[in-house]
Amino acid sequence: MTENIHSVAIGKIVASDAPNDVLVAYGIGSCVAVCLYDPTARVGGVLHALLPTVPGENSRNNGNPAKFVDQGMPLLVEALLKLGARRSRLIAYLCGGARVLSALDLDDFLNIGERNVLAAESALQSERIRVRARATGGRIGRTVRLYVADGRVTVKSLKHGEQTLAPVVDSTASVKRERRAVRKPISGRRVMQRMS
Amino acid sequence: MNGQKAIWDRLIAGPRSEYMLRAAMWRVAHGLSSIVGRTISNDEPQIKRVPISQVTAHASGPEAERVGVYLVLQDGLHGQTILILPRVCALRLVDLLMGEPPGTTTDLGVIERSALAEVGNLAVSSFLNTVAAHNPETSNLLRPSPPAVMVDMLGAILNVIITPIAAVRDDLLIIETNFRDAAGAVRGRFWILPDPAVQGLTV
Repeated sequence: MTENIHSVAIGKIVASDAPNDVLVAYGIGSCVAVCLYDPTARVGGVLHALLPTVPGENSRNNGNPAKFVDQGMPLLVEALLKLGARRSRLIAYLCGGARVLSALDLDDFLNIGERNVLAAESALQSERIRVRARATGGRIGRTVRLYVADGRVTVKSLKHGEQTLAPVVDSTASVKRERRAVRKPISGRRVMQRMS
Repeated sequence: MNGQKAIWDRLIAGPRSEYMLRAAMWRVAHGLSSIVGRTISNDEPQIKRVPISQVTAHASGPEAERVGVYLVLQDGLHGQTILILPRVCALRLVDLLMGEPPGTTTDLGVIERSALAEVGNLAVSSFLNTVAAHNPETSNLLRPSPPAVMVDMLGAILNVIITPIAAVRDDLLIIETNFRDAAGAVRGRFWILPDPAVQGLTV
């Protein structure tokens, strides 16, 4: 099956139910990439956020909401629900939030990575979505890939190469939790949403 | 703030902007030439406004391994600067700085990073000296932070410079030029980014 690579740039959300789509957030440093996947509906999405929340009291003219973890998370969830995902089945993978720069006399932006991760955890908790695995913190940049076909998540760094963060997701466990059958997406239908 | 806004305005949009930037970058190239012992030339400086989502693509591939020498501009002129080098060029640059044959340096340890930090320091100081020469009211008040050297994927490095500006804008105003030696063995990209408060200046 030919893979369609879709880059999730900074401040972007990409959601898909196309089985040959691979959603990729490249070169994440202090940014955080939140991957959400519904193993039954085979729907997945990635949020690539740069900041935990809108800074300061003046929230006007801060532009694109997907730059911010707390504003982008509900948008990602909404996009997935529109593609047929169910909130109760969504599982999350967190990547990024590193501290690539270390210099003692620079300002608070130095720990922005940690704050992004904390914001993501808080936002996921608000959405009642469980974090299944994470590759966060440290001092390395990462590229994360979400394979929509099977929910596989891989993380690549210059130091460690590419490693699997999440193997192929077994959908049978979540099906057993469902009280009624779910209609699967029409084969071949592709709905791609890019939100900024 | 008014003082530094006026300086940035002159550098970016003033009637002598082109002349000042050309002079500043020439001085940077001249300084680099002195420290490495060979002629380093620079391209014509460009001023660009780039959407945040496209910054890493603008610089190169986001997964490309790069060395970034980062300094913050403090006191009289606020902003950020970064010298971005492919890793192979950084290794070659260290060879030149240390007076070693090409290919001697194979890793970027503490000493090698310190040498690269000094290159960044020299580049930014050369730039600031030119700014000060054209803005006498700022003399003795322009100061960069100590340099910080990062070696990683380009996207991760650029997160550092994008983050402070992304808090208030969806695009970056970048003053950029490229440096290289005649053989092309040493080449880099030098970016200067005004303070977020003045990023909205019309180009």
